[in-house]
Amino acid sequence: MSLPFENPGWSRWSRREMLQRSGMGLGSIAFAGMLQEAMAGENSPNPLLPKQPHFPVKAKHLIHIFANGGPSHIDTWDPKPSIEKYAGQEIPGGAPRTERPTGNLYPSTFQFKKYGQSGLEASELFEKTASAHADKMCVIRSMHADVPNHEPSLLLMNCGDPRQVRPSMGSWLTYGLGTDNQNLPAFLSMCPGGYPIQESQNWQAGFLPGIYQGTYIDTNHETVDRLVEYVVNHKQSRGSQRRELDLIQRLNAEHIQSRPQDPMLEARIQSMELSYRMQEEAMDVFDVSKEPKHILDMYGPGVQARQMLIARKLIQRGVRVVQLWHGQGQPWDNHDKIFEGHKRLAGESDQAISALLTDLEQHGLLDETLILWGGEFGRTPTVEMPKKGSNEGTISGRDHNHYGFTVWLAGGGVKGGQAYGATDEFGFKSVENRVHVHDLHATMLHLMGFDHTKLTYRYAGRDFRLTDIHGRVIQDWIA
Amino acid sequence: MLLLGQHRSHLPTVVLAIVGGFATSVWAQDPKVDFFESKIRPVLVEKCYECHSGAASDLGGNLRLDSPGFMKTGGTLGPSIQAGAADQSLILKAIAYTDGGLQMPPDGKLPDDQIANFKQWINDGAVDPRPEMEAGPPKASQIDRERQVAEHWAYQKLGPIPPPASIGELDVSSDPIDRWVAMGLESKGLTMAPLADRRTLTKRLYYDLLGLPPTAQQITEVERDESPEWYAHLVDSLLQSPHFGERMARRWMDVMRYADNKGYVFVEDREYAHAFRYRDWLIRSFNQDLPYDQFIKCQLVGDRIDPKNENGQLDAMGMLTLGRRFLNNPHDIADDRIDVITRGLMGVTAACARCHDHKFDPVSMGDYYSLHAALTGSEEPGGDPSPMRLVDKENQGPVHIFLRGSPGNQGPEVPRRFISFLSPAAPVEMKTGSGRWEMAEAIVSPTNPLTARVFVNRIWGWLTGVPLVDTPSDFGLRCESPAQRLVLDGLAWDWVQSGWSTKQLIRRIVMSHVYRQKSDHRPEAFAIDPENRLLWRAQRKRMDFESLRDALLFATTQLDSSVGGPSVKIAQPPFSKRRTLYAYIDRQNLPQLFRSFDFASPDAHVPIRSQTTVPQQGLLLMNSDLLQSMLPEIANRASSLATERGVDAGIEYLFLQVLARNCNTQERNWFQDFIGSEQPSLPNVPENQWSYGIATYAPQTGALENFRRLPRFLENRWQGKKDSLPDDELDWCLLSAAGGHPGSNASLSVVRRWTAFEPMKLRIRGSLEHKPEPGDGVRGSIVVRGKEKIGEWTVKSSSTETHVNEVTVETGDTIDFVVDCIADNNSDTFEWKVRLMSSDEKSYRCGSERYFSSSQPVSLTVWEQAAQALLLTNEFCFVD
Repeated sequence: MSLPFENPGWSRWSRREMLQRSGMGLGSIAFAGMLQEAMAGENSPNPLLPKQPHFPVKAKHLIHIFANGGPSHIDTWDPKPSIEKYAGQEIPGGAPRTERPTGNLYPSTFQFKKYGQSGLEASELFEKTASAHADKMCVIRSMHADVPNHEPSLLLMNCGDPRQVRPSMGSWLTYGLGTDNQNLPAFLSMCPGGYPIQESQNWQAGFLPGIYQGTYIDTNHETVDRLVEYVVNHKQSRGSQRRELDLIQRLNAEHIQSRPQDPMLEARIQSMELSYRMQEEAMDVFDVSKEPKHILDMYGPGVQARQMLIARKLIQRGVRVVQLWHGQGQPWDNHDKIFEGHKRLAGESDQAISALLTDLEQHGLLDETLILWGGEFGRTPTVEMPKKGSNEGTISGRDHNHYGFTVWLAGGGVKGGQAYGATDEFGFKSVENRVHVHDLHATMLHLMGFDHTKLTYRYAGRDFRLTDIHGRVIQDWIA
Repeated sequence: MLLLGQHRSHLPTVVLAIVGGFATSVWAQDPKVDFFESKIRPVLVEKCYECHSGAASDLGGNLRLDSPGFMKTGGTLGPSIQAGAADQSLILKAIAYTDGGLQMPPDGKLPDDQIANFKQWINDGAVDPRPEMEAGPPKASQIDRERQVAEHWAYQKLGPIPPPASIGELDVSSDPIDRWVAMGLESKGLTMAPLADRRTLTKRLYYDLLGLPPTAQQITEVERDESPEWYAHLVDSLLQSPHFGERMARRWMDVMRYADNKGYVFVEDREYAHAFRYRDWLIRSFNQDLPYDQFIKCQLVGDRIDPKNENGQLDAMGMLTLGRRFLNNPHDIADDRIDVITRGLMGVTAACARCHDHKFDPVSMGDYYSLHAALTGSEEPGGDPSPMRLVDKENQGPVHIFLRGSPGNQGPEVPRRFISFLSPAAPVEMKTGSGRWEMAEAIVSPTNPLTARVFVNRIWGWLTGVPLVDTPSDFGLRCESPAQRLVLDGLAWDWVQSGWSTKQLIRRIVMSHVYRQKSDHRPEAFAIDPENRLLWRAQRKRMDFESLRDALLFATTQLDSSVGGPSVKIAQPPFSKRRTLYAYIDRQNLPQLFRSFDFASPDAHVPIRSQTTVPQQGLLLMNSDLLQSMLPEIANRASSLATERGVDAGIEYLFLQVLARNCNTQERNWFQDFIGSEQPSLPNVPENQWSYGIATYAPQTGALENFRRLPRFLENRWQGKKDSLPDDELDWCLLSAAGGHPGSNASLSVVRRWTAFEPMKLRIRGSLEHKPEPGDGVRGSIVVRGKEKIGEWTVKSSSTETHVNEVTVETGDTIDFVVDCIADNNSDTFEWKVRLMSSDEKSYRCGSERYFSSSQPVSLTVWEQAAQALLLTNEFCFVD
């Protein structure tokens, strides 16, 4: 597939000019629909117009629920009775090296149960999600990453490389697919209270054009002008703005008359109209107060609920990628008091996640939306030893674990009701059907309609891709 | 079947098919041979031969696995098998993925049973029935590549190119670049466009050379210049302007990925507090026309040219040291610097050679790791005389390549020398200190075929909007010879010969006819050359981000045009009025504002900016305080001109000020209509419906007079001007989110005012509370349209509900929540929270507490709107 922007810049214009020869110029100022159609094409100056992937698939949107900080797989989706059995004993062969020293085996206090017809096992922490949706979920228990540190692992999970500047998965997808709604950003990253660790690099466009970067939204704010930059005009009513815009477009029409066949001039005329419409659309989509009571009740209270509901509204309106972070910093990073911590964190999100899946399904959107839940890594089955300056005086947490962890997929084209792969007896290392983050990316791109080896961008003399030189598509996950 | 040994196939799949045949027929007798044929050979062929056989187009690690002898001899890393000792065999280590740095095949580990087979095979003596082969002469593909390198247009030495004596109307007095262009056009029956008019050329030159628009006055002066040399005078005066250096500096900052911080670095200080000194050095160097070879050497080896910074050249090393810090990984830092040097200065893409010899270009791992050693062999001592300098480390170790780019996996030692294909005569040894010195000399050597071509192409692109070579930072084998190769090579050769003067190069280009052409569409030329490769017209340009913001500030008389100095944050209030090149660049979290306008990513070297047209750009221009705060000055001027001399005078002024021209009759009519009929009105934004003031209130009649807004917001409340109350004028008056305090008499009643943005029927819910014991309490009244009292309550150490069931308002009507002190203003602190809602209680709700705001609502005046309209036109944002 040949995408625009292989040589970003001028050359598109000239190819676009060739299109102009077919007579699709600016006839009059009454252009809204016509011009938009004329500009839909791979040579369009608006790089966000919808594009076809490599092959037809169900999934058109992605929601990535990022439990940032590293949720414990053995307390949520990966039951390990052996930890209980050998509780307090040394793990046979000793614990592999993680970020900090850990001690003996430390069993989960949460109850696991089988859910759905598939009998998928999950802990009480995500009881609501599991009981309503187990048969739609593909729980991948054999994930592994490269290192036990947040920063590189976040970059690996988001951008496919632990250190260097690379585009995020959301940027790759908007580059490949454009977006269905030109009145809203194509890719949004929502995180209440501020940035996660590694900040906006998590949704960076890297060397792709800046417009593919995720738009950050602090969902702690409730008013729309705090949510989306410049979307609200505080000094003009809509009517007054329309009159001013009409005046601008008159001058533009006069200007373009003596400068025929210039797609950049036309594009800017059209784009001003899109800006005008975006204001209305954004006001509406971020305001959840007008949702029916039963919907609000279904999602429950709190900011997780609000941002999940916003996510559904965004997907419904054609936004391509939505990333939902649990919160600023690394909330799931429970080096101590893990059981209290995880209970609170899951409590904040379980009902909302379940509601999101239900709501998408009821809107007929679940089939065309790929959902990923997970963190940057998991946690150790062994207890973290106290350390001066961090968790001094407590022995109640788990350290980072990149050797083995769990994520789950659901929705668009995913074969649900299965647990794929396995960690060892104690849940430390991925041992069966091991899945590297690159493989997850490759398969997710496949589910979104792309051959991960062919969604490339020429930069610095090389064709780059999300999976670099790695990644394999795991057919077992595909419905 | 014998063919296999004698003729190496270039098609692994074909080989595989033949091997399949062997396995079942010929050698089925010997179980060890059988084992090899059925379990080992298919895997070798399928998984390894692509890179490790005679058929490989690019032999990996110099290792071949297609004969028993080759396997035993091995490659760069030594023998690949030790027959009988699987554990000591390199191949097993590689396929078992036990070593992070050596994992084969690279695209995924083999299944466990296949690995076990290899182990068993080696332990069983590595029986291998394949015929031995000669290493043979270099493969055809290799010869091809050497020929390609030798013949590649961009690697050819520069030299004089005789232009045609005359062509069309162009005689020997014309610049050869015009004659070359005309030659190309003539071959297609085309000609250049006529010269653009003086106004257009003036705007074009100001934009290209200074990044600023000319004033109407400056254009008129050019138009009235009667000298035949008027154009040269204009060019020369602009090249002398201090703003020329600013324009060029910002261009160069894209090339060297300038930012004011390091990116993500855990918890250490991430600021490059002195980065601006590098920018100042750039401005100065361009203004003083420092020859390009010296310009580059200062940036690469300033530590040897001006070690004590006596000539101020040491700050130039910011080019290398201001990159991202990658969690302080030294190899990533070096890689970033190699990238800036190779792509930025020579159009060579070297980054691939970090892991393997370049697949397309003639850059080897040895080349890469020599540069790597020059950079990791340098250190940043920090502090004086320049915090940005590098110096060579005392001890320089030998240079090793890192196998597969992994520092933990050192390969053989390689000589420390400059990129070999760029030193064809003899290897350029890099022997002084880290070798940076010789590297810098080799880059700016007049015999380096790339440095001059790459820079000339950049300058051409910056000036004309379209570079001659599409990929300004990749002149490698995949970069085709440009349509205007003669222009590029001719300019580059002359430029180097005449001493690398950047100003002379620019002067020559802008003096050419090619540059001065009209930008108009020409159907006959478009039909033949739609991409304008032959240069039959000039390119219309949309202003880049910096020029646009600068032009907005300039046209609204707000621009601070001082040159040089520290960075300023431009995205938040109070809005800086400095030129945009002084913007603080946050590499880690670059504000959306920059990204929306295609600003160069500060993450890595940027060859060319993308040009997108997206609605976020319009939103910023229509809605942001950034723009709206620029408007009042020219709007007020226009408005007072209109008052003094009629509306037309105001309109004329705005056109001259913003578009630097007079308005025509039609435009004047449009603006007259606009100004005559527009009633400024507030938006439907809840915060903007509340204002906070005082008034004189008559409780008996409900008449409210002399409403004035409270002048100051302090911490969490609106109040008088003084820091501590009582204020001299407004004594105890204040309003906070939940309540407030009235002043000491009826003329100092506090008023929380709601203004209707559309006709509505409303319901009001509220509660008024007064807690303190002393005094006579307070009185709360609700007044509509400043005269109709619709509710009144008095509270003293008590509270009450303040509900009104229905009130009807028109657009612009006010509902005031007035509190006065009654007679005594002692202890009059009160709370009064109200909610206004539509009668369905759903479609509109606006609470006084929730939407309390630190700003008073303001609507744009009609003159501000008129000014904004002109600033948002295509005419303002494009340069013909």
